[in-house]
Amino acid sequence: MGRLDHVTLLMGPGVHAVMGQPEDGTAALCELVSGRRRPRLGVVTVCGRDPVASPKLRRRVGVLLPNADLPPVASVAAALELMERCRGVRLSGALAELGLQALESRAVSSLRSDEARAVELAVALSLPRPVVIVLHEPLTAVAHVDRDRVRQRIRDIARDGVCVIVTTSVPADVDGLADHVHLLDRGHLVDGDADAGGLGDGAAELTLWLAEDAARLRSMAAALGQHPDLSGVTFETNPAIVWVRGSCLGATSLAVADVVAAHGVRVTAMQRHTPPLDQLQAEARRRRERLLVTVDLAAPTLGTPSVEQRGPQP
Amino acid sequence: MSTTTRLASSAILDGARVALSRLRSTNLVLTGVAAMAAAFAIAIVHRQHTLVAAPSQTLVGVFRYLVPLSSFAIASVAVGRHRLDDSVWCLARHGVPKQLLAVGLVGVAAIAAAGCSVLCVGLGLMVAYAGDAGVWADLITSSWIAALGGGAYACWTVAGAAVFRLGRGRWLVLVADFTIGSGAGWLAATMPRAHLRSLIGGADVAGLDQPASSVMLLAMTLVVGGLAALRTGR
Repeated sequence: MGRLDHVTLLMGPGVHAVMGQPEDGTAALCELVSGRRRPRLGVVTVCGRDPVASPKLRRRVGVLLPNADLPPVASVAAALELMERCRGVRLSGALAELGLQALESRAVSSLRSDEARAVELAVALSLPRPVVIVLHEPLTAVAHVDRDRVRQRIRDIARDGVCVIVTTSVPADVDGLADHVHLLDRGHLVDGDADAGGLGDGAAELTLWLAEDAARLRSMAAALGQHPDLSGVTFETNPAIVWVRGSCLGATSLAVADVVAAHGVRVTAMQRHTPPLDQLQAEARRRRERLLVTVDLAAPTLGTPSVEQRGPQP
Repeated sequence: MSTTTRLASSAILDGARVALSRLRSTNLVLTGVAAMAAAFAIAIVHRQHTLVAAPSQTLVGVFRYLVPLSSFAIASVAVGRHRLDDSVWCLARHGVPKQLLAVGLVGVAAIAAAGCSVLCVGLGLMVAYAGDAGVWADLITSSWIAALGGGAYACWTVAGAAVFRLGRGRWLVLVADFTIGSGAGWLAATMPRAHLRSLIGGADVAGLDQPASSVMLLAMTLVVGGLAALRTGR
């Protein structure tokens, strides 16, 4: 399950992606925010209230936890009816919104874990006027749902001023979804509230699929190789693919756009390479270790350098 | 009926519905049949051994082993393989107070355990008497003792399930009943076993007479069940 240690997070409206494996504390975070668990030390509040102690607040919190926990009644339709009554809202169209109508007539006991999670996801995303929605891996281990539809629904909800917390172990899920990205590593928040565009900052890689012959591809690759903002270019002629690497996503994208426009080549598709989670965590750890001891030599007033210790708690 | 009362009663009924669904899905009938088969076997064994003392010996066997174990099994099924607060989370997450859900759950567990205990005791006595006169008077007296005992055991089991990971405290309660409850002091008075022994004609517990033991069992059911529900929080 994992645990959280010395984590301080303030989350406002928008989509907050929290990356990490469940054992890094993402599952624990979901349980804390949803009100399932109380922290041993520290405080979790949603709209200033403790979700564990406030049933009224829980009515307006949408939840998808690692393990589905549907009411043990006969059918999914009966479970939805019960949830409707408990929350005092209508949930009749919840399944249809994600294309899950077929599950409605099924017995709750016959659902696989990923199907039960799909039902819970549909309920969480169809709550009227939620205050927070916390979703653990909403794009994986969820059966029969169209991922794009889920992403769109999450974006729509966040646009209405709701705080949506998405925990995931797949960095690619965060792309184009999150407004804020937080990275958890073994219970510690190692990269708090980074700009979503800065995911894997410092190692931006793009893959381009081209509809060009080998000669034009080579000349374009040569131009990319000479661009000062790009640090590496690799290509393949059949099929025509180019991989470029740059110092950051913004500069790399602009450099590619420049060269593509100058050579008039046809790009059929472009994809950003998202580094795997362990690479992101290792990168964040390295950055953190570099911050462990900061010697401020620009403090001449006392004549001695001041030493500030930061980084992980012992 | 005010809105608050209506909501509270609805929450209690929802908790009861959760417990009933669990009991139905794990085949309560099978548990009951197994318990009654055991009661039948105990009665047959004692009847073969001695005709006169068979009913009282059967009651001792049923109250000593079957009532605690069948009540433990039924209450454990109602709670599931979780701690009590996790057991009601499936509805608590949708905004229903956990305490009220737990009250419904405890209630159903107590009633089901009481019913099963009454059936076991009834069958055991019928077989032990084998049509002899006096069976009905004994049956009526033993039935309400069994109902009280089953309810108390179920509440203790649910209360045990409210502590430790996955509600493992229920095992502690079972062991405590078999060990502490076998005594006759004030500590034993906290366990159903001592009172049941007293009510079926055994040694008194902590100097309490039989009516006092009945009241203690009833109070135990209400207090322990209530505390278990309170422990789940809001």
